[in-house]
Amino acid sequence: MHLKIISCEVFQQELSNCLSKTTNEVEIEFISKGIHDLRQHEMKKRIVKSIRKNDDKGFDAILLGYGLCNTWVYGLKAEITPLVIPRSHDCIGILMGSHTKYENYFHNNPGTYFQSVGWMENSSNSNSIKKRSLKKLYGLDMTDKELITQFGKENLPYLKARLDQTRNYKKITFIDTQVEMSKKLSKAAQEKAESNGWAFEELEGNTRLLQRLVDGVWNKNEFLIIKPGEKVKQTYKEDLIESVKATP
Amino acid sequence: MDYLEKLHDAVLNGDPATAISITEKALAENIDPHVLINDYMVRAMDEVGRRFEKFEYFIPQLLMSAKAMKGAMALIKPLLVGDSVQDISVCAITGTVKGDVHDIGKNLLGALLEGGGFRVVDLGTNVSPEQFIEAVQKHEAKLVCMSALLTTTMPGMKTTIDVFKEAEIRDQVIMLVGGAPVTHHFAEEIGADGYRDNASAGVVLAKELLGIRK
Ligand code: B12
Repeated sequence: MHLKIISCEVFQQELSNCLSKTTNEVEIEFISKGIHDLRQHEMKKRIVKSIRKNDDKGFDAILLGYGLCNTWVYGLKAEITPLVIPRSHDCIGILMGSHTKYENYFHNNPGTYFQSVGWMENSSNSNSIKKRSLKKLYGLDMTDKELITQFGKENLPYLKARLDQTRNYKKITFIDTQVEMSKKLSKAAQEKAESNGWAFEELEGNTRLLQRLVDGVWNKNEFLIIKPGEKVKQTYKEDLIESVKATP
Repeated sequence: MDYLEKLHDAVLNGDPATAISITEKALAENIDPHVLINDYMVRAMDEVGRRFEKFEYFIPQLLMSAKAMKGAMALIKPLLVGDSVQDISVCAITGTVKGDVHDIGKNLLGALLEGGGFRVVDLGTNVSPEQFIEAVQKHEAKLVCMSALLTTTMPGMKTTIDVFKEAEIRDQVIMLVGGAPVTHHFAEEIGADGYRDNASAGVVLAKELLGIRK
């Protein structure tokens, strides 16, 4: 098969490994992880732009290396080429290799911050994204100095206590997909957890979902195929999403 | 009483010191506390909510307005003990559902609910259905506001509503849902009383459903 994959750069190394093992001919394009920090419609617009650019190039399918992230995927339409997407809430489930495994782990470990090599290597954003980010729009990116200038020193502790983003965390879980830098970054994640007084766990990752995606083994309960003329709809059930006829 | 407009402005501009000093002065002059709340502060917080909704106000600005109102309310509250006016003491429970620790949006909703005259009991994050029920019973709440920011935790809203049904207290409360991934459709599907995509519209809806005058 001749396939195109458009993926979040968070899977860069894992996907490269999968591609070296597949017999399919796969053209790959990564999009910056930072688009997750934009507003939902802007994130969607960016991914759809890449899809449309490749829609009439004769690929057998366009694969999407994304989860429901930001609910960007709701309403996504396939026009000329079929689209394939793993059923997962976000990249964490994909890196664990199973959506069900993620859900179980997630609910048994509330207050967990998940990390992986791809997460940690792509955690800083370009200026163009920073400028348009949700954080900027909401003023969540203001520095102490800016807060003091605008609201006065006496109000800093009050504001910081409410703006602190990590106050509800209890644990960092590092998903080890055995790629380059795994050992080093796992250690860094552990150190970060310790310095914050949080628990730490290293969890074995699994690239089977990514491998199946590029291999074209798209079993229904793990992948959604969106045929031309269809669009994605949320289901609120175990399967997360379904494809329905798109009204023109 | 012209200076009272300054109370409105102090809340709107997030100036706690001025809000407190004007309130002190007004109370010393025996001005009705309800006038201070409804005609000046709630009106200001309504405007804060509208500006925030249109991205004209940052979150820190909204937080400062909330602080200004809270400071003034701390002086007023003792005077309201035993008060018969219902609409300023309706209790609202807020919380982020189980598994979810996102609370910035939920806290803003709490601030605007307080700004709108509700008595808010916040259960924090990672709140189980049982905790919601317990709080409703303990505080005789009329409103439950659930927040979820993850598609993983949204089903917790349904579970909570179902547990309320099983406990046969679903009819006693208005249950609203919100948070970035939530939609109208989802709210309907799970049997919530309503959904809004922003906190200030949420407060308007809550008042509407509870029949509280604006
Ligand atoms: C800030 C943030 C965090 C912070 C949270 C800090 C805090 N104390 O709240 C931190 C860093 C801790 C975090 C962690 C995680 N996050 Co996060 N986070 C965000 C982010 C960037 C912004 C959320 C926010 O605060 N918005 C600002 C507020 C003001 O908006 P809001 O919450 O929507 O609230 C408004 C309205 O919705 C409404 N509202 C809210 N609640 C209610 C309730 C009612 C009743 C009503 C009427 C209205 C209402 O009022 C508010 C004001 O108008 C979003 C991106 C996004 N698009 O939302 C991701 C996002 C929600 N996170 C995401 C993810 C994946 C995670 C993690 C799993 C990441 C990880 N690696 O571990 C963890 C999960 C932690 C957990 N178990 O909860 C994903 C979710 C994907 C999905 N499938 O659902 C998002 C969408 C990012 C993305 N694009 O992928 N996150």
